[in-house]
Amino acid sequence: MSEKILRSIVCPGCSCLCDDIDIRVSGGSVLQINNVCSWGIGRFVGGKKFAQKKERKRPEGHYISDKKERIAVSVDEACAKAAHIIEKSKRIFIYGLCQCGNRAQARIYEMGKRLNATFIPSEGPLLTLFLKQSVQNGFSLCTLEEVRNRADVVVFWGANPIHSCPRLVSRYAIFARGRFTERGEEDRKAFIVDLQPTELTKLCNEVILKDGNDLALLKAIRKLLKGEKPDNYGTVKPRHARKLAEALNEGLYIAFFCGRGPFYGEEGETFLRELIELVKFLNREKNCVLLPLATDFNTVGFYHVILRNADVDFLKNSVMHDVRSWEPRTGDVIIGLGSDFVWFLSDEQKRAMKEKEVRIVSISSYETLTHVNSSVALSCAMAGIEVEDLCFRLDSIPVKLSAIMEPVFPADWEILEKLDALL
Amino acid sequence: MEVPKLEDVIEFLPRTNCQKCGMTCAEFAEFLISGDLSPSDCPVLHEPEWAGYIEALEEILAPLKERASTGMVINADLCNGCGICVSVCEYNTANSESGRLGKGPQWEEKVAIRVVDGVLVLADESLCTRTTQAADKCTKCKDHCPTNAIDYL
Repeated sequence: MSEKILRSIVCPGCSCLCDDIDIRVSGGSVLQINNVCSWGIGRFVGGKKFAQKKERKRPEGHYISDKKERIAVSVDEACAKAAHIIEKSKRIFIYGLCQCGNRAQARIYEMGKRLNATFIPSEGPLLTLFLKQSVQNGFSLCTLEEVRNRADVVVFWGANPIHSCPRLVSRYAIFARGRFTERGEEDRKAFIVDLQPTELTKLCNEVILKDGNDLALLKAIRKLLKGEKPDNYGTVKPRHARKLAEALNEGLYIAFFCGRGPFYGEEGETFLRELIELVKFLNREKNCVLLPLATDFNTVGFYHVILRNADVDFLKNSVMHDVRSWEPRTGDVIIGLGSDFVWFLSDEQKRAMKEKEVRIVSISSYETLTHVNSSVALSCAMAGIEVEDLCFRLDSIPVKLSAIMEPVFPADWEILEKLDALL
Repeated sequence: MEVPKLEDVIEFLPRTNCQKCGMTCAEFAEFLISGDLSPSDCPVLHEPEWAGYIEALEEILAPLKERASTGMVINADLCNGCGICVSVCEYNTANSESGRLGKGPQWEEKVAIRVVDGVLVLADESLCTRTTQAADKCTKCKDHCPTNAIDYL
């Protein structure tokens, strides 16, 4: 079989959506992938996220589980059973939404709204708080290319890109050379604000928050920038805070990458509001941007589905931030789209799910814990590997994913269309 | 792959500093790690009472066989393919246009190192600037690796 090289393919590994992946294929199999990181290779060759050498099992068909038996059925039969379960339920929850293409996101959003479902995005805290603030206050965004070309100060706040988007630092944030950053890292100052030293501390100036009090540090920086003396630096070493404030003061183009870290505490929302205020303050004299550092490859896509529908009340009425705050009740049904939510549940929730006989409808490309334990398992093709789709990079740029292999199963949006027609 | 440490190697040498090989045991261990000498070059280890030590040392030094001529050892288990080393590499910076802009090198581009299948590989070690430097050899890739997957021996 003849070999060919597919060039500049987009990698659906993380929200960086690297578009420089070259793949050598022969027939239906991948022989070599250049420029892909360890996250991306897992997606292309079916490996596990942090251990790509371990195979990630794909399902062999669609299944209906009845008591102890798992029966293989056709996609239509599985959809009919799923529709029956959803119709009989009292409360509907939709979990995931961040690891699938934009077409599936738009379809499930419409379906969920009509059925009065509660959405639990897998990147809930980051997604919902950023969305809420962008509606209420608004903040400055820019493209990653702009960061590469112009940013001379980069701050990773509560984020470790080496784990969430491995190639972000080499492609855009620190090492890449751009129009006004011709010497790469030498033209930039990079800071990392985190609870503990991470892999990046070797390459950045570190600011360690021993107690996770991000808010105290933000307030101290605001005061330092105004030329006042802060009363409280929190648990941060004052010289570290002063160094960060000095860099923000001197920088001409500042980029903040904010991860999930600060949003797990109760003060998450206040922190983000304060950070946006800091960005606005810095924007009076220079350029300053804030980018949410999403991990899942299409987190920002769901954010755009909500914005496109101008659904401001959606967050208030239909979104649960964290799956751990869900209390299983009799008559509940969970629709899992492209994610393994059982993995994230507490033992108590898992016990309650069993006791209350909560039913699961799983739509997944992998044989996950959720897929195996579901009442209906609908197996779908992988967006960006087996089917084309659209998704959004972490800086909100839409990127088209291409198909490089023949799919065995229908796309997730096709399954949702079938399911929607039955409801 | 575990890179052998000097103290692990010395432990399997006679540690008598007899100078039969022309040096001390610590110096001999350094030459073993640099690859200039092999365990069988120690005359004492050939004596019957030291039987098995040469084989043990060869086992310890086995990972070094994967070392490139530039001395580079890549620990594939630690590498996450972030590509920082590729973008800071002196040869790549000077010769890869896409690499300068942060993108990975294109398929045909001649580069010293590149990321293949999620792991760093030596694409062409003869291009590494270390091969042309007499002293103060470049260690940019090692110095910038966030996961300490690169070492020079």
